[in-house]
Amino acid sequence: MRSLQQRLSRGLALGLGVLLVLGGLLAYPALRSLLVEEFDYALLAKARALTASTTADGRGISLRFTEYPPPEFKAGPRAEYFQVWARDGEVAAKSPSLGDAGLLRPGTSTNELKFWSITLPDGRAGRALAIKLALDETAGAPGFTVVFARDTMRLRSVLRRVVGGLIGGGVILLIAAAWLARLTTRAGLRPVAALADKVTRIDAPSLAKRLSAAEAPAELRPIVEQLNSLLGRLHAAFERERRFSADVAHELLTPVAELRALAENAVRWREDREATGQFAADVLDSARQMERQINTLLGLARSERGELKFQRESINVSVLLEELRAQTAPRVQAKRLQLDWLVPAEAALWSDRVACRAILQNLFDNAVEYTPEGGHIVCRLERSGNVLTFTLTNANPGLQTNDLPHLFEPFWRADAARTDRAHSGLGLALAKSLATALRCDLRVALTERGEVLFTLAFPT
Amino acid sequence: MRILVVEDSEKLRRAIQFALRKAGYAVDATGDGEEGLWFAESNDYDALVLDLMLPGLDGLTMLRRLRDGGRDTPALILTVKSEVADRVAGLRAGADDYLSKPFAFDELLARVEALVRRRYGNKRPLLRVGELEVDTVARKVRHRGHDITLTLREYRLLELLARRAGEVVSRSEIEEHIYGDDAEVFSNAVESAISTLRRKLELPGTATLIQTRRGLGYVLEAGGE
Repeated sequence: MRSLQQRLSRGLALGLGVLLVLGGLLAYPALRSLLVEEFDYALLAKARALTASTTADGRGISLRFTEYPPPEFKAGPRAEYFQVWARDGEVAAKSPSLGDAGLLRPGTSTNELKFWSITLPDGRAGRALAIKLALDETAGAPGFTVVFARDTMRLRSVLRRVVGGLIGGGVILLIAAAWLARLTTRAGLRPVAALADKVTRIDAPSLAKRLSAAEAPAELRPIVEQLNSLLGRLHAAFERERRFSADVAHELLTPVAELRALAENAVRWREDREATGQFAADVLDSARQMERQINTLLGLARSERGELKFQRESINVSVLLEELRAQTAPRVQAKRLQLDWLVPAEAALWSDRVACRAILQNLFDNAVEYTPEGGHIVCRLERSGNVLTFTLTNANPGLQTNDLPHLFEPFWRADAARTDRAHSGLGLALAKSLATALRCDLRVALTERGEVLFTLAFPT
Repeated sequence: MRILVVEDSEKLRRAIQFALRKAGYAVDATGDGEEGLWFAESNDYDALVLDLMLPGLDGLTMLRRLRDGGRDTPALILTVKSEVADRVAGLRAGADDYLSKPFAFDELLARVEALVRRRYGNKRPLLRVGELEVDTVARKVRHRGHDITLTLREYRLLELLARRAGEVVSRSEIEEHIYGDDAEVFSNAVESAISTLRRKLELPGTATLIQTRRGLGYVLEAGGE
């Protein structure tokens, strides 16, 4: 689409132009008839003067002039003409300019004025007027008819000037209209230009700023509001990313600090065999921890970008859970946890084995980690209709209802001060992300007794 | 000189404890905030090395409670939180110094040393008592121009006495600062250390620098009046 301003100003100029042409077309006939009327009025005045100079009595019809022949009726390039007829149609008098030629006598009724356009005897265009006078016949004064004619050169020249004026004025007005249209549209579109300017200047650091909807004209307000809401979402996403990067850096700084401290000690006190042996073991542990964290991060990133390729197959969730139970048994025993196992022997599911295992393992690890010593964990698997539901209930005294929405956020911990090295803080985030990718529903809630309840529903 | 380390990473705690011990400090260490506060309140440490993110009680709260209880033990915060706001919050909570992780041990040791010096109102690393000079940075002792060779423990004992020259230092204080909680202290350990130190500092024609105040403790004085 071309520029809005161009479209508007062109449209406006065109519209104004059409109006001007129409105005001119309407004005010309009116002006013309006005001028013709003026001309006819002058014609009438002259004809009246002629009739006033005419006397008609018993002796006949005679015209009296102060000077004869009057100069305008002499033969010449701008000569005027008259002719007088007696009532019986006999020519009583005619102007010398007529020579041998004559004017036509129109058939008119008494006291009627008649105007018409004629071609004068010398070929010029002209206009004629006939007056028929009925005088008092009883007094022996016969009636007569006077026709007066003159050329319309001046009238035509005035009309030409009028047309020229209309066209010239029209062109000037058109140019002015185009300029005005441009000016008006530019002024009218200024808020759009201002908005465009503001939008151009938005970049990552200025996402917190908002466009002012109050200043925007009514037509732009919905756009500004939409832009602001988009900016809000973008800003939140940016902030989330930024916080996530900072969190990643922090999480990795701790094992790096360990590595550095251990390595420094090992270098400085290399002769202390016993101590350096312990340092080496600790270095290995820190390195493994970093590796785990980075792998989890990569897994999370891949899962969120939808890059994971799932291999769906028939898996027995019960067997999977048994494996996890065996794997966590030492930790469960160490914390003297009581594990209630309500899992049927067989629970078939068509899904990705690795992803399902990762989800269940993270939920399990979380439960074992946060249940206080001697606590209770209930693990339940049941099928209702075509949904297989896994629930895990355990006490987690530190958790409040308002913590629940954050539980699946990366690096979120109920106890902010806690940076337990054994856990990356990513387990639940990964579980949630994988569950979403597998189209499973993973939720968390607090039971009436304040226990945390994870529900994972697999569609089958 | 006795230091308390409160750090929840077990590996880092071990490494710091090891390095501080090698530098001659008596070190207590814990990974729990509550326990750290209890340690710090019930002992007279020369410095605290404190992580911020701790289970039980976070470092800042722990420090605030310690200060509210009237303890002004110099504290160094050691944490991955290194933004200006974090440093400011740490210092406002009553910390004396701030070091971000990862750190160099040399810097940690230098900062801990500076904290200890400040504690005894002595910012100069060289302590002088009469003709005795104790260089607390190089850990060298000279008496009347003669270099005196001391073991780390003997040096620490002398440094403690020199920092508080003219004051009586009780036997239990010496035990606390030199041996820490973890070492089994024999009842005569302090006496025997003092007598070794006296012997090493002894020069012909001089009276002993370290006086015994029976029932009270020991005092290091110039001239040995």
